[in-house]
Amino acid sequence: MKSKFKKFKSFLITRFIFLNGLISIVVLTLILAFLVYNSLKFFTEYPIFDFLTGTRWSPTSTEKFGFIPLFTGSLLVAIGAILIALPLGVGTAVYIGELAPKALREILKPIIEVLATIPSVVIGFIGLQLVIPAIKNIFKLPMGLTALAGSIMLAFMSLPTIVSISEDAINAVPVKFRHASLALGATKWETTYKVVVPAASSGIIASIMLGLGRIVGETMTVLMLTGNSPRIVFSLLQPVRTITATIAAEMGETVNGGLHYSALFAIGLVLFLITFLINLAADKFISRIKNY
Amino acid sequence: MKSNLKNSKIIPLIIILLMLSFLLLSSCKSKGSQRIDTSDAGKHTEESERLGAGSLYENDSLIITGSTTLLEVTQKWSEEFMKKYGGKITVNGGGSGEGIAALLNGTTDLADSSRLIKQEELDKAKSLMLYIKEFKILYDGVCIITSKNVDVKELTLNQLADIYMNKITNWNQIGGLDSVIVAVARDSNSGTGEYFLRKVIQKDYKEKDNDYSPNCLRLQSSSDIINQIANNDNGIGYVGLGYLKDAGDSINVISVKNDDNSTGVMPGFQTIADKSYPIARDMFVYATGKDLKPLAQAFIDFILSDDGQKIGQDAGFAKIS
Repeated sequence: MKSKFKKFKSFLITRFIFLNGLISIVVLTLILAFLVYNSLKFFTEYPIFDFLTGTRWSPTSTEKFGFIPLFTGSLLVAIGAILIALPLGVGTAVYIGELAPKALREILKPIIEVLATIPSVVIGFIGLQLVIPAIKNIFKLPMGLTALAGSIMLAFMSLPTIVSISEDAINAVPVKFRHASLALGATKWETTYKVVVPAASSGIIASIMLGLGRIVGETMTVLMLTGNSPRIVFSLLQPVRTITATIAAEMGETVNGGLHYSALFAIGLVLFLITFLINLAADKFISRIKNY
Repeated sequence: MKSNLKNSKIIPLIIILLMLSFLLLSSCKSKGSQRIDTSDAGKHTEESERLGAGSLYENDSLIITGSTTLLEVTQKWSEEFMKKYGGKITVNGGGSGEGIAALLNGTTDLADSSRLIKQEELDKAKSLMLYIKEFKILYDGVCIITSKNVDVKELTLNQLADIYMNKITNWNQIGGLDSVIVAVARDSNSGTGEYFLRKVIQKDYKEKDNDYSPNCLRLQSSSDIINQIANNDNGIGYVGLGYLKDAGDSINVISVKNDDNSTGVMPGFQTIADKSYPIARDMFVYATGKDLKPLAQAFIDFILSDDGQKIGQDAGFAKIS
C-alpha cells in the first residue's frame, strides 16, 4: 500500500519536473514564433536587401529602416566592452584561482558575483554621473555620451560572468597538471600561463562568449550612455545607437501593427539570432570543459 | 532525526508558498502601478460638504487616460475639482496614443493628448460610429536652450532646422565662437521631439523628407537634455517651458524668430499664449459623443475656468484664454 503510494508520488513528481522542463522549451518557441509573426509584415512590405544594407535608420519621417548603423553601433560597443572585460576578467579569475591566498579567495569571488546583482539602470546612472564627464574631459570631446562610455559600463556588467566561469574552469584543471609542471622546474607563473590557462581555455572562451551575450543584449545602460545617434562610426569616441536601445526607445509610440512596429520586431528577431548564436557557441565550449 | 526530516519537508513548502505569494503580490502591484488613483476622494467630499459647497457629483466617477506630459497637471486638476465639487476622478498615464485608443475602446471617459488626433484614429472612430469632441486646454512652448558659454542669443526657425539637419555645424556660422555645435534632441517616442520635427525641421509639414540628422544625440527625457546642455560647453537642445524653472541659471534660453526680418521672441507665458513665440504646441482633451456626461463636462469647464488655467500655468503651461 505504502509502496504503491510512493510509486504514485514519484510518478507525479517526475511528471511535474518534466512539465517544468517542457515549459521553458515551449516558452522559447512561443517567443520565437511571436517575433517572427510580428515581423512578417515588415519582411513582406520592406525589401530585405534595403533592410540589411541600408545605411540610414530614420523610421518616423522618411520610413527608412537601414540596419547597418544599429548593427555597427552594437558591434562597436560590444568590441569595446570585450577589450576591457577580457584582460580584467581573465586576470581576476587567474588571480582568484591560482595566486590569491585561500582566505582572500573566499571573499573575492562572492564580492565579484554581487556585481551581477546591480540593476542595469543603476549602472547607467553611475556611468552618467562619473564616466560621462570623465570621458569628456580626458578626450576633450564636446560631449561625453559615447560608445566608450557604454563599453566601460558593460564591461563591468559582464565581469561577474567572465570571472565566475573562468575561475571555475581554472579550478577544474587537475592538481596533478600543476604538480607535474612544478616538478619539471617551472616557476609558479610559468605553470599558470603555460599549463593552467591553456588547459582551462575552453572554459575561459565560454565565459567570454556568455559575457558577450550579456553585453549585446543589455539595453538600459546603453540607452542612457551612448547618445543614440543612428550613424555609422568606427570610433569609440563617437555616439552610437545600439539595436537594443532602438527597440526600447521607439516601441512606446509606434502605431500597433504598423510598419515601424513590425520593423522593431524584425530587429528584435535579428538580435535574438545573434545572442542565440553566441550562447550556442559558448555552450559548445562549456561542454568541452569536462574532458579531463 | 525525525524533526530534521520534518524540517526538510517543510522548508521547500515554505519556499513554494513564499514564491506563490510573491507572484500574487506582484500581479496585484502591476495592476495598480500605472494608476494615480486619488483614493482620498471621500475625504474631499466630506470636506466640501462641511464647507457648504455642493457635493454635486458625489456618486459619479470619471476616468481620464493619456499623455504623460499632462499627467501631473491633470492630477492636480482632479484633486482640486474633487475638493470643490466631489465626484471620483481617476487619472491614468500611458501616452497620448494610449489615451485615444482607450477612448475609442470605451475604457476611458476623457483622453489627454499632447498632439492633435491623427487621421488613422479619426477613421477608426468613424468606423465605430463615434463622434469625437475636441477641447484645446493649454499651450506648451518648446524652448530652445544652449550651454552657458554659447553667446548666440537668437536663431531663426531656418537656422534651427539647419542645425538639427547638420547643415550648420559650427557656432561661428551663426555669429558665435568657433566651436562645434552639439545638437541634442528627444528620441522618436517623444511628443515634443515629434512636434519639433514637424514644426521646425519639416517647416510646418512642408518638407516632409527632412529629418533629424543622424549626428544628433537622442535623449530620453527633458531633464536628460537639461543635464547634458548644462554640463557641456557648446550644446543646443529643446525642452518644454515647465522645465526652465528647475534649470535656473545653468543654461541659456535663446529667443526664436520666424525669419531674418522679424524680431526674436523669448518663450514665456505671454508670448506663447498670444502665439508670438513660434514654437508652441496645443494640448487637447478628447471625448466621444455630442453631449458629455455631466461630470465630464463640469471637469472640462473647470479646466477652462480661471482657476483651472491658473493650475495649468503653475505646472509650466501657458493659458489659452
